[in-house]
Amino acid sequence: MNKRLYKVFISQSIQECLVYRSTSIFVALFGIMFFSIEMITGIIYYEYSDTILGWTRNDYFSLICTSNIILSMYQVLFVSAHENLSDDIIEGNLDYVFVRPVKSFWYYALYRLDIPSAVNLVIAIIIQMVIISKSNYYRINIIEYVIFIPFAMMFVFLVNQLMVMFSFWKEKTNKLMGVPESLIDASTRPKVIYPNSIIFFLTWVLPFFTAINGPVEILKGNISVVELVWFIIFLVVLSIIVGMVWKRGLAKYASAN
Amino acid sequence: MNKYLRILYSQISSQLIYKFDTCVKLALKVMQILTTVFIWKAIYISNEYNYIGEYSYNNMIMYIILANVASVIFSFEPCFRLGTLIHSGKLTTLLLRPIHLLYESFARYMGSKILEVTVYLILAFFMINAQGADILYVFFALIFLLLAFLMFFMCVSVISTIGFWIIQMWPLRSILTAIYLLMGGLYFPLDLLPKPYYMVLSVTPFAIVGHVLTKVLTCQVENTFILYYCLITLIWIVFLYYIYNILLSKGLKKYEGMGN
Amino acid sequence: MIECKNVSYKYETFEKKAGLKGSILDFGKREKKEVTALDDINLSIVEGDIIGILGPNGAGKTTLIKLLTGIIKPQQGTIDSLGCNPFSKTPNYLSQIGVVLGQKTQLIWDLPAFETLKMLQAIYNVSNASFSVRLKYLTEKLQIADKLFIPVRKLSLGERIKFELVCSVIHSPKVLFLDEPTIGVDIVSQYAIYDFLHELNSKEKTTIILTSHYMNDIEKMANRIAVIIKGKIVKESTIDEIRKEYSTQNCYIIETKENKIPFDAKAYRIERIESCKYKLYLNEDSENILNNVNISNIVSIREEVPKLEEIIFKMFTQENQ
Repeated sequence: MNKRLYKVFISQSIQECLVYRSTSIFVALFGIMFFSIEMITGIIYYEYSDTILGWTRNDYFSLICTSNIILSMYQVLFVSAHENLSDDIIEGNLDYVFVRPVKSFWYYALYRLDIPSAVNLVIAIIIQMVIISKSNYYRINIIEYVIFIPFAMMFVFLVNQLMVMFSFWKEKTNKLMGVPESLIDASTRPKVIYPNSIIFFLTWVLPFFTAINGPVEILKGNISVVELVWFIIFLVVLSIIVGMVWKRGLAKYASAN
Repeated sequence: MNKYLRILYSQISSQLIYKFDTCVKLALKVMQILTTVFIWKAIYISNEYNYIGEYSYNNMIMYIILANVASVIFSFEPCFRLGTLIHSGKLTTLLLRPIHLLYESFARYMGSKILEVTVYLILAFFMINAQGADILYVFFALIFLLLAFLMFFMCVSVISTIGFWIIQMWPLRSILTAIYLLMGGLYFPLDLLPKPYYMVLSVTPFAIVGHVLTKVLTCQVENTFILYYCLITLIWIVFLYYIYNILLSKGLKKYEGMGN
Repeated sequence: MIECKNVSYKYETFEKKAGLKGSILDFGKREKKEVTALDDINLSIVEGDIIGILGPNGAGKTTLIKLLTGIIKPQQGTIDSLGCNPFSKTPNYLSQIGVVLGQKTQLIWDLPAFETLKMLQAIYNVSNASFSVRLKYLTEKLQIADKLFIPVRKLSLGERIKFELVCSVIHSPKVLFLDEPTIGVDIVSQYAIYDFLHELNSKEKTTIILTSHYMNDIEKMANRIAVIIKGKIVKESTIDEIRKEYSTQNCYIIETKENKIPFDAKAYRIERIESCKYKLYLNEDSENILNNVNISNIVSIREEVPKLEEIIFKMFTQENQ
C-alpha cells in the first residue's frame, strides 16, 4: 500500500458513492436514525432516575456519542471490505489480490471507504463536542480521549477482521460476524450495569469495555493505567494473530478454488 | 405446492449443515436480552420506586425477556436476499422458473425458521396455559400469533423490494433492528410512553409482533383486546400484500431495464 | 525462463451426502476426498515463447496457471519463474507478470475501465507519462479507446475482455498468463485479440502462456502446445510436430474437374471421398511419381493435414480409454 494507491481508492469510493446516490442517501439517513433511536432510548431510561449506578445523563449520552464515533469511523474505513469478504471468498473473487505486488491485507482492507457513514461520524463528533463543552472534564482527559479513539477503532476493526476471516474456512459466517457486533452493542451501555463476572471478562479477557466504555472513563478520569496497558498489549497481539490468520486464510482459499 | 415443499426441505437441511450458525445465533440472542435486562435492573436499583409505569421489577424483566425472545422468529434476514439476487443478477434465473417469488420466499422463510417457530408455539401454548387462561383465550392468542407471523413476513417482503432501488442493503440491517427494538417495545414497554404516542405506535407492525404479542402472552389483556388486534393485523396483511405487488411489479420493470 | 520440475498438486474436497438424512449424517463428520489436479509436471518455457496449454475440463490447466502465478504453492516439485519462486510473491516477481483469468474480472464493475487502470497504475508504480503513452497504444490497438470512460457494466463482453487484457499488460510484464481469455467472445474480437497478442509478443518479447478450450485460439497464437490430461502432460511440442506425428501415412487430396482419376492409378491405393475428390495414399515402397498425368483434369493436389482439433480430440479420447 502506498499513498498514491490510497488516493485512488478514496477517489473511486467517492465516485461509487455518487453512482449510487440513492443508496448513499439511505445509508446516511439510516445512520442518523440509528443514532436518534439510541438517544431516545437513553431519554426513556433517564425518565425514572437522574443517575443510573453513578452514571449521569451526560455520561450516558457521551457514551452513546463515543461509541457512534468509534463505530462510524470503523465503517468509513473498513466496513466495505468486511461486508464483501465472505462473498468474495465463496465466489472466488480474490484471485487477482494474489497477483498484485502490494500487501494483500491492506490492499483488501482499505480498498473502499464507506463515504455515507462519514455523515454519521460528523454528527456524532459535533454532538460529543457539545456534550464535552457543557461538562467540566479536565483538558488533559479530553486530549487523552481524542488520542484513545483511533486505538478503540483499531480494536473494532481487528476483532471484526478476525471474525470475517472465518469465511475462509466456513461458508456461512454471517452469524459469527454478529459476535463482535453484539459484544460491541453490549459495550455501548455503561459497564456498571453488568455483573462483576461480565465486567471482568469484557475488560481483562476481551477488552470490549475498555474499547467502548474506556474513552468515557478516560474523560471522567476513571480509568486505570494497568487497564490501558493491557488494552494496548491486547491490540498488538491481536494484530499479529490477524496477520497470521490472513496468510493462512489466503493459502486455504487458493487451494480450495 | 410440491416445489415449495422442496424449497422448505432444502432450507431445513442446509440449516443443519451450518450447525455452527445455529449455536452462535442462540448465544447472541441471550446476550442481547441480558443487556436490556441488566439496564432495567440498574434503573430499578437506582430508582426509589418499586413500580415503573404499571410494571413491578419482576413484571418488567418478564416483559423484556418475552418481547426479545419473540424476535428470534421475527427476523429480517429475508429482506436482504432479494437485494442480493438483484445485484448479482441471479434473480433472472429465479424469474425464469414457473415459481411465484412471494411463495418461494415464504417457503424459504418457513424452512429456515421452522425449528424456532415450533418451539415458540409450544412455549407460548404452555405459557398461556400456566397462567390459567381459558381455552378461548388460548385459541385467540394462537390465531393472533399466526396472523402476526404472516403479517411480519409480508412486512419483510415489502421492505425487501427496496433492493430494486438501493444496492447496498447492509445499512438497512442495523436500522431495521434498531427500529424493531425501539418501536416493537423491546428496549422498554411501549405503554411507558405518553398515551397519544402509545395509541399510534401500538397499531404499527413492529409493535404488534413485539409489545402487543408480549402483552397477549403474559395474559395481561382481555379476549376483546386480542380480537381487536387480530383485526388490525389482518388489515395490515391485506394492505402489505397490495403494496408488495405494486412495488414488485415496479421493481421488476426497473430490473428488466438494467439487464445485468 | 520458466522451469517446472516434478510439480504435483492435490485438492481436498468433501462430498455431501444426498438429502436430509445425509445432512444429519454430515452433521458429525464429512467425508474428505483427495483429487489429484497435477501429477509430476515437467515443463520449460523460454523467453518469447507462446505456449498453449490444452486439456479437457478439469484436466488441471487452471491449477497450472495458479501455480505459475504464485496463487498456490506446489506440494511437490519446484517452480522457477524469472529466477523467482512464484509462491514467495515478491513484489519484484509480481511486477513482471500479467494475468487474465477469463472467468473472473479485475475490472471495477460500476466505474469506467479507466478507473481500474488508474488503480493498477498506482499498484505497479507506472509513471504518468508512460501510463498515458501505453494506454493510448493499447486501447487504440484493441479499438476500445472510445470506451475508456464508459462504466464497465455497460460494456459488451468483448469490450470487457479487451480491457481485461489492457489491465494485464499496462505495466509491460515480461510474462503474460491468459486463462481462457476469449471465453464467450465473438469472432471479430477474437481476431483482434490474436493480432494484439502477436504484436506484443514480437515487439516486446512478451512470453505468453495461454489456456483455452478453443482450438482456434491455440492454433492462431501458440507456437508450442502442452496437452494436459488428468493432471499429466501427455504431449509437449510444436503444433507442426504434432501434426506430423498424427498424420501417420502420406496422404494427398486430389480434386478433379471430371469424375475420373486423372493419372495411371494402378500402383496406388485410392479412395473416392465424393464426386471429383479422391484420397491418395503413398506407401513407403510406392513411387512418388505419377504416370500419365492429365493435368487439364486436375483442380488441386494437396497434402492432407489433420486439423489440430481432430488430433486433440483423438488424444483426449485415447487417454480417457
